[in-house]
Amino acid sequence: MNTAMVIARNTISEALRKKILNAFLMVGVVLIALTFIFQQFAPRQELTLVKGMGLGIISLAGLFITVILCINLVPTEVERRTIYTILAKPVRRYEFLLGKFFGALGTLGINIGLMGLAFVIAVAVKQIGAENAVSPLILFKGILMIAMQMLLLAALAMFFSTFLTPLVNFFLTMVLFVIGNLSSYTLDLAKNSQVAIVKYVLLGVHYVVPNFGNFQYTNPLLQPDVVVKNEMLFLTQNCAYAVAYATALMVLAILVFDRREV
Amino acid sequence: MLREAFAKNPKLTGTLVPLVAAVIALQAINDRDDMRRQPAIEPKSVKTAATASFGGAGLPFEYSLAALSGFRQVIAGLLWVRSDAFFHSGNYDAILPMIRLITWLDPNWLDVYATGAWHLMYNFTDTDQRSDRRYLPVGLALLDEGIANNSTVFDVYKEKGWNMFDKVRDYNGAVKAYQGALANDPDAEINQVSHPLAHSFERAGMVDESIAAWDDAVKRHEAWMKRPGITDEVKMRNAMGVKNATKNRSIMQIRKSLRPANIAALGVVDTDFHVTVTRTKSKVIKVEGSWNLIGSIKDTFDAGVFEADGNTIKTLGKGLTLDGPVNGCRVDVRLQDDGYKRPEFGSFSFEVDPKLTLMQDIVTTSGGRQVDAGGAYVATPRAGTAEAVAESAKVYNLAPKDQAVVNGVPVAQALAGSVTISARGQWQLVTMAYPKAFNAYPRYYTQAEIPAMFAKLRGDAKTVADKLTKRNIHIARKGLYAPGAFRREIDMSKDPKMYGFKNEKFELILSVNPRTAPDFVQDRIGWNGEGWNDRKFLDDKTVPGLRMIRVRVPLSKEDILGSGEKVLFKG
Amino acid sequence: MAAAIEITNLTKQYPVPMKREVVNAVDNLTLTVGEGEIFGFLGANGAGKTTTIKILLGLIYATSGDANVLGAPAGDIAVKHKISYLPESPYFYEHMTAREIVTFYAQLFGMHREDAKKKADQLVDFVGLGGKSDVNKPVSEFSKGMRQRVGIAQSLINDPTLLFYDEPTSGLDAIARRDIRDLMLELKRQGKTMFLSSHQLEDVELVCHRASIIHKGKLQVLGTMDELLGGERVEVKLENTPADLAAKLTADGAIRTGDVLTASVLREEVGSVIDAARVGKASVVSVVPMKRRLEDIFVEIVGGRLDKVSGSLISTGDRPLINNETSSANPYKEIAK
Repeated sequence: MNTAMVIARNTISEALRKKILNAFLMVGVVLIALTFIFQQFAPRQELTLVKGMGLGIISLAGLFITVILCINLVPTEVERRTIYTILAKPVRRYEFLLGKFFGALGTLGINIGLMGLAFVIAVAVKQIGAENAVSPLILFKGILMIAMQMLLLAALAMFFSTFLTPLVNFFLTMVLFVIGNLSSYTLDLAKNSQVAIVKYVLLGVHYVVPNFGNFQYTNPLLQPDVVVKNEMLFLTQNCAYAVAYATALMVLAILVFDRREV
Repeated sequence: MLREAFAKNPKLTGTLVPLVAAVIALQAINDRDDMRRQPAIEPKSVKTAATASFGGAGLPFEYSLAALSGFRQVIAGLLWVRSDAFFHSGNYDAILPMIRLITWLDPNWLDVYATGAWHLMYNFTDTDQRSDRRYLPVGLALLDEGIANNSTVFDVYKEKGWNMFDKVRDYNGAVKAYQGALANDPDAEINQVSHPLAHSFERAGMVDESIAAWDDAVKRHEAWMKRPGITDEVKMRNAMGVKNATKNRSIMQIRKSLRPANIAALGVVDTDFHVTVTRTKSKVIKVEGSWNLIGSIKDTFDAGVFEADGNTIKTLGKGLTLDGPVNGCRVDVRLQDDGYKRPEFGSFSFEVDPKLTLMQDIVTTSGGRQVDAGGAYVATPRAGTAEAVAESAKVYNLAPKDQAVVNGVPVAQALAGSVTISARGQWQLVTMAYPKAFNAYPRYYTQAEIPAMFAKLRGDAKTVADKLTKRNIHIARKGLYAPGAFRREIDMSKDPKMYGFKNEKFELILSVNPRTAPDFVQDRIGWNGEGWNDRKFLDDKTVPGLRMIRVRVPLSKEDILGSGEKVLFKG
Repeated sequence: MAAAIEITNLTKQYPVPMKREVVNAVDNLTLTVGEGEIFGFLGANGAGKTTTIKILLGLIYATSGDANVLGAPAGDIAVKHKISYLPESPYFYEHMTAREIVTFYAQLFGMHREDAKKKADQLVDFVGLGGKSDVNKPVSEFSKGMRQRVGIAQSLINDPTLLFYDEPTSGLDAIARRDIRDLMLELKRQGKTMFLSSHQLEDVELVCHRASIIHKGKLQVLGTMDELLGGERVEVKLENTPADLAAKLTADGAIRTGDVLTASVLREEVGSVIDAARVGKASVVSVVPMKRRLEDIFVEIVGGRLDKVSGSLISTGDRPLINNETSSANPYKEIAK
């Protein structure tokens, strides 16, 4: 696994130099800072707007950074043939793959962490002098959920990258992200369906497609009065789901990549 | 390729089994969690509605995309701005799908449920400002959804409680809502929840429960004041709450003790309810009638002596001392499809049954008046409510028609001996000439005090002039009694969409519910109408334990839509 | 003596898109490379050279047949500690300097970061990239020759026993080519085993002990340099040739230029011709073995003198076709000494 970590470090170093990813990061940070400007257009409490938009921006920027980063990690190595010199060394295929994945996670962690920091600072500034100010650290729960969502998305994109081209991977991953966000809808449809086969197909979709909608945790953070029962359990379950599913996807990715010709 | 991979890596393949099992199990647990039940796609009712502001049905694509990408609350905010604009321009129909969209986008925005329910239950009116009651169940469904999405905070429970109390007048429903708030939110605002709960119990005829609720409110206030770190403002609010709750509890205890005794002593009032319903023209009905609306005369109820705090009773009084015709109790007039019952909607949809006809109005009863021979009255050009000091002496205004009947003389002349002033008359004159301080106890003169006070009055020409003559006080030669009356013409022809009269059979229900009567009326007839009766129209079956005055008039479509005048009911 | 590389009936098939056909990128290949041997693996573009190398490195998988490297199946992780690979036109992470790249690869061998850095410094200097102007340059600014040097540096990190070099001098100028050729000779001198694929046939002639040529996935010819290039004829130049000898030689195609008669004789007849010349008091001007160039063989094989049915080289008669079964066992050992 040391080899994987070497590859991971190298991946982070390379990814942080990619212009397009840095562009998303910069846009995200700037938009978060600019949420102060939008407040005049809404009747909502300004703080609610700053929080809502901030989390939304982190989520959106995180989505694009994750997908664009992960769909290209393996195919680029194959296309540029840098993978030859690596796999010719005593590097197991799974070490290479995991190294790339952990590198992606590290990159995402840095990006989301930076945006999260900008967000927390923005909220803290907005709350100066406000009544009923809440600790901005509470917002880290929302950022954690976004991070878990991106972890799962990264694993999905990595899995597809072991056998699909980046273009196909991009659209497939995005479509599954949208479907995954509609997870409560597929469940409702399945429950209300009268035709057995349709019901089971929808249930299949519901359980097979990663449930990205699980990680929508914005409302309790925006409305201080909303108290989530067993919040720790709720958050832990979400994290466990993300980790378990991502692990399963990476196992599948390792199995596929093991037999892939480069 | 995958098959080959599985075959070459059996151990690794084996790890997939527990992982997949864990994923499915965790997802199944998630699916049962309320937190995750936020629907992801806009509800059908939005898709089918024509939302003029968007030029079509449903949420525009870019809004949907923004909603999916985590900007739900922001979009909700923008939509709320639009709906506010619609409200101010009077376009209430456009607000409905907006409310649906906003509560879908941001189910934890409490203000939208409250304001949305207010729009639905209060702001959809006909030309004469009568509420469109078809929207009441819709508003309640919205509030139920708000409660389901925010079950741990009291706010939406409170909204439902208030709407049940004030608009629907389902006091049992109000009780349930407020109890829900207390059960689910330990930090519920006591003034907004516990106090209305006690009032709701009272209106529902549950007197003991009301008193217990006031007790509970006091304890909650006191517990709040002991919480560490609370601000002075909160402390002060709770201190005021303790005073109010204590006072209200005392009043309830007094009434609980005195009302039955007073009714037993004074007997049952025969309301002698009369009503005539006339169709004056198509879709216009006139409701008029009279009945004996008897209550406790203003400021003459003897509650007793309070402690120095003014809130706790020290010595119980005698209760009702003077009763007579009063104004204020309302007659409910309700015209609806035959057999209509308020539905309970399982989920919120702003579509109402277009075939349903439902009209409700209230008609105030006033004009009841009485004078005994030798008693005082106010000679006025037009009948109306007597001023307070006269009213508290049971001195009524009499218009010229009544004046001709009683054939009275001005008070100065009566004092000079032209007419015999009765004992009651003397008491009335003394009470008006020498009114007691507002905090005096008792608030009225005893009969024993009157001779001396009356003698004083006779020699006090200035007071007679200032306090009596100036007020046109007269003394009657003959007695007079006239019951209170009500009259209203209800025009449903101006709002054909609301009053479509699509069905064939209808029913007109006129009712007086003692539980909605003012305190001074209940002081005479009790919370549940124990102190009144009506030979023709007393109804003690519709609501067990409640003695209502209730008239049901079956009507046909032709009765309502026919042209020309027709008496539909006389009783 | 153990074989460094053993390939037995190796076949790699690829399906043809849109048709129910397969193409054999490698077709029933069998060859052996011994330890300490510099083995040239030649073929035209698309012949199957890189495919074979990739199979040996475990980058792709054979359809059938066996391939062993240093006694273990191709792709074995333990063996990779002892081998290295220089691909054709190697690509590296553009943002890294030469030192960082070599450090990175060194760490992939399990070296600690500090040790890897030291090794990188050493190798970067060795390949001539340690100068001030080059040491901090990212690879994106390197010329092709410089990239090749980086490739060589990374191939020497683990002091490998077996090196796979694929077109190491491709696209380089003459000086760079010479440097790399010298390096290969040095490696040869050190007793390293090298599997060299190259289009620079003069380099192969100079460096390799043995060579093979494959065409359309099939092995066409295999042998030592001498076997492949060594001539069966010798050019003999004589002056004042006695008439009888001159007549005999002329009948066999000798050419007279002035007094000098130039004849091409079979190697085994050289002795008798020299003797006859000495007896006839002729002067022997020169005796030079007639060697073919590898390029000639390459062009012959790849250029079209093939049997249309079998795809194999048509025998020229006087120069029998050399194949695995007739080549001498381990002749390279003697030649390398």
